Amino acid sequence: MSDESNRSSSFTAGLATGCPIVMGLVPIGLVYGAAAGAMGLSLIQTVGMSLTIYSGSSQLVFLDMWGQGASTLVLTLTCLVMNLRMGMYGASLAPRLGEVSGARSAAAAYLITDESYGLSMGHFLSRKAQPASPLSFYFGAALPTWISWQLSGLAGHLVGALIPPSWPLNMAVPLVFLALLVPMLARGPKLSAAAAAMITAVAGAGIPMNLGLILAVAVGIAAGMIHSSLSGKAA
Amino acid sequence: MEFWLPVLLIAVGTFFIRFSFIGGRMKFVMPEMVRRGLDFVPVSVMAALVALGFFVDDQKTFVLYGPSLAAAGMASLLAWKFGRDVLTIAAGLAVYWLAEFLLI
Repeated sequence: MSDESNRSSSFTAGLATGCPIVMGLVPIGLVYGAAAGAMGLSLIQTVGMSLTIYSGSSQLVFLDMWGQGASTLVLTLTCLVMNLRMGMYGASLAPRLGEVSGARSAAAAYLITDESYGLSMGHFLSRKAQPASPLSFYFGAALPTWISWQLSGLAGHLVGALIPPSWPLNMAVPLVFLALLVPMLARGPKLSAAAAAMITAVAGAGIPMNLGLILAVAVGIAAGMIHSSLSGKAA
Repeated sequence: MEFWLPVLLIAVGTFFIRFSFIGGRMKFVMPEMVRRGLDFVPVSVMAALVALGFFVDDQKTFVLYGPSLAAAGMASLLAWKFGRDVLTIAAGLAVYWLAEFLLI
């Protein structure tokens, strides 16, 4: 197969992997847009934040803190700490994606989210057939997340007032992660990592600036590595 | 200005966090131990976010709430049985809504 058809088939496979998550993201995007509109943000501000920051969780935290009158410094630091995990995602993805440079590396970096990372790495680490071009697969997997996030934020702003408050939209995000997480837990060390991260996340939920989440990830990694060392199994 | 300044600072900072490794600006040979550790990042992040979503309330304290438990149980079962799927998310949301409706 030529390089171009390799890229095209990998991109298509990525799209197929990335599309199901749209259903979980659209409700969150609608909530984001509706909340932004309700706080008095203009359509340009609502969409501009999605285009530039492009991180759902920190955008929602931003709205919450901005509404409370938080200072620029606190607001910026909190959201950046929340997004530190994306550095870990980048480091984890980089060896899988191979040599990437120029505009493609900037695009690959910009598109890193919990979803694009989880979907791509979930596939790269699975026993499924691997794409000939991991970068194209990654772009394919990331695109539905980007499109649905941008459009649902826009739609949420426009129709915000019409969403019934009884809809359990706040549960959609954890359900997305649960759907991704469970199939990854087949082996012991991953189960230990997940259990340790869950316990630490709950115990550390009160730690300011979402540092409990970073701590939970660190403890999860440590537990997984200790388990795999003791059992002699790889991750 | 008071809106766009933090937005742009966060956007630029987040881009550099994302770009730092992908863009090859931080070039180093990754030790085997770090590579092994990074393989546990997705599982740990997702598990932490799941725990925060299902078992932590708005006051940041641990809570066992019936509808959350029912939704998490149903979604876990479907995800385990059928793999990741829209079905898992849709059924989880439906069970949560139904359980809350029945409780009220």
